Amino acid sequence: MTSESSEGKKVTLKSCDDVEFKVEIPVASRSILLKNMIEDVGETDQSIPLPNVNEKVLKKVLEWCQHHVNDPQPTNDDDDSRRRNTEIDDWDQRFLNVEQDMLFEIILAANYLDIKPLLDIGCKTVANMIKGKSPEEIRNTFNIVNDFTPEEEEQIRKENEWAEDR
Amino acid sequence: MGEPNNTVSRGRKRKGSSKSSTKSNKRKASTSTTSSPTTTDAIVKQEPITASPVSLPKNLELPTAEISQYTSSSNDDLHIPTRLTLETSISKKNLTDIPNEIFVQICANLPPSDLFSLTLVCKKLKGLLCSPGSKETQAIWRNSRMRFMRFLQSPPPHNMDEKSYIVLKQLDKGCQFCNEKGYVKVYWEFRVRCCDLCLDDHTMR
Repeated sequence: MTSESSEGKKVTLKSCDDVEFKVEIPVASRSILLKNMIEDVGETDQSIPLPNVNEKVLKKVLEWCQHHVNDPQPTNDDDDSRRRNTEIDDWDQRFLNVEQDMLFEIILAANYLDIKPLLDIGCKTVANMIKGKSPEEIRNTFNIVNDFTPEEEEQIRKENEWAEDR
Repeated sequence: MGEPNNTVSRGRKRKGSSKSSTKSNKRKASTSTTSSPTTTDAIVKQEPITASPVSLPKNLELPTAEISQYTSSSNDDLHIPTRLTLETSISKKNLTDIPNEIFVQICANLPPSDLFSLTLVCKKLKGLLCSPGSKETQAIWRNSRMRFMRFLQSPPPHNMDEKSYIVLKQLDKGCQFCNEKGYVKVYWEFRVRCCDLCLDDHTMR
């Protein structure tokens, strides 16, 4: 399928909770997984099942794909520069300003659907929630229970000060 | 080809016999935690087919244009929460239960000081960050070093793990014995970072 012939054409995606979304092919193709599938099977009316993504998350991810539909497709070459760029643009920041559950689900969906730029900004957002925080603050942020004894904690602090014994 | 055909006809039959099946479906639906779709994109709710993307091309050979005729309004009350377990399991994702490769990618944005904080959060994260034998542990510390320790771009000495390498090279932390912040040096053979005096004190000639 050439890119010209895909203009205006749609593909149907089905979430794991069986909700179907009709999506323009260039939007769906932000996902490399879907792009490859669509290229492999050609034109079809059959829906593509996405067993790992529910309706709520798929809707959100497609919103991102729609907004970024005209972005150049990332290549392996700019992986590094993209990752090193710590800036997240305003629209993306607002887009990812969601409940933590949702943030992690978007990250997992971006990973599964192979949408690298979305996976990237998701991971950066989580990293920004960790940066500069103490272990206790990190636990509070992510609702993690401290399962160390004070002795174990002391031991780790020591290990962080000294090189691993060999 | 018989199986996917069944799926399509089941979907069609359900619509036709919606009156008789509504009651039982509603009862099932009451246990669902999923809200009804509000999106205009939602076209149809249909019994799940468990096809994985890998088997997709086979399924795609079948014409199912009639599915898209259904509107979400006529099918809303037919939602069956067959994926309840899956939905529950994926709705509680947190920093501690994401795939390791994603944790590695999150850590790629963090300087070593934040990685050291993460080692003290819980056992799960400590395991990911402090297992010198694991590829993930090495990748996490290596990425962080390459990106945030510009003065430390060469790989660690033979047989030294990435984290120990970083620990030793934190020259700003001073001597590991006396905390002297002045002239400190890494003595790779002893795996320590220390000042001249402490080197003398702790070694024998």
